[in-house]
Amino acid sequence: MQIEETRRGAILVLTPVGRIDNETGPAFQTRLLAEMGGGGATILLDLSKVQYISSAGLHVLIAATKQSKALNGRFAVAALQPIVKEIFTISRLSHVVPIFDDVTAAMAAWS
Amino acid sequence: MAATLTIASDLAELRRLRAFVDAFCLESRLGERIAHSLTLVVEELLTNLVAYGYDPGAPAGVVTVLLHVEGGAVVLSFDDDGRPFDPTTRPVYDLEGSLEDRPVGGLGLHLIRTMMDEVRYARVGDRNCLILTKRIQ
Repeated sequence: MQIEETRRGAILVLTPVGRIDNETGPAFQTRLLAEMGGGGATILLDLSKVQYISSAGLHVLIAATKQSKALNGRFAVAALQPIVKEIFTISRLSHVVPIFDDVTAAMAAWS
Repeated sequence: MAATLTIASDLAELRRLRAFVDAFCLESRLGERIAHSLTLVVEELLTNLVAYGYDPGAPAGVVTVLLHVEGGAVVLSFDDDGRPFDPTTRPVYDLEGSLEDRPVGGLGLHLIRTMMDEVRYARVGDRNCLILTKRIQ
């Protein structure tokens, strides 16, 4: 899976492209956790280019949120496509993973 | 309209399974949302089966997937030779749990139950037969 990367000040914006599922999930999780490194990282996941997420993908986001918390970092997702948003709602993932409407909203909240 | 696909219980079959569902939904003009739900459900089912359905190291089993449209609903039948497993009797996934309490498994099953309108299970001989129905609005 292709992952676009932009740095905006102290915030790393990662934009995965395509599907986060059983196939792409493990490598994506490895990348995310690596970016969290020694701690204190601020990572925003821009999901505007993700059209599909399975439970394997949701577990990656739960694991990333846990790791970020443990390392005193910040982690959130933004710009969910309607179908992905529906999966988030069904799974009540908003209870555990911070969600922003778009990248701009996240930047504003974190500045 | 009906279509059948027989695959091995192997994650390498996921692409073929997705293509099968996509093609059926396109031919039956079921629309993007139904296609998405069905794709997600078959993917969760196969993933679960591969993870828990067989003894470690056992050869891959045989899965038959049948799709048909009937009486204003699309019916998915998922039939496998894994160990007996009735998803309809599994405990409900705890959605209110905090981050720490979220179990690693169970989310896939929750998605299946939520996205489909009806899930029925039968053990027939040495096979699990799951029939899942989704109404077409």
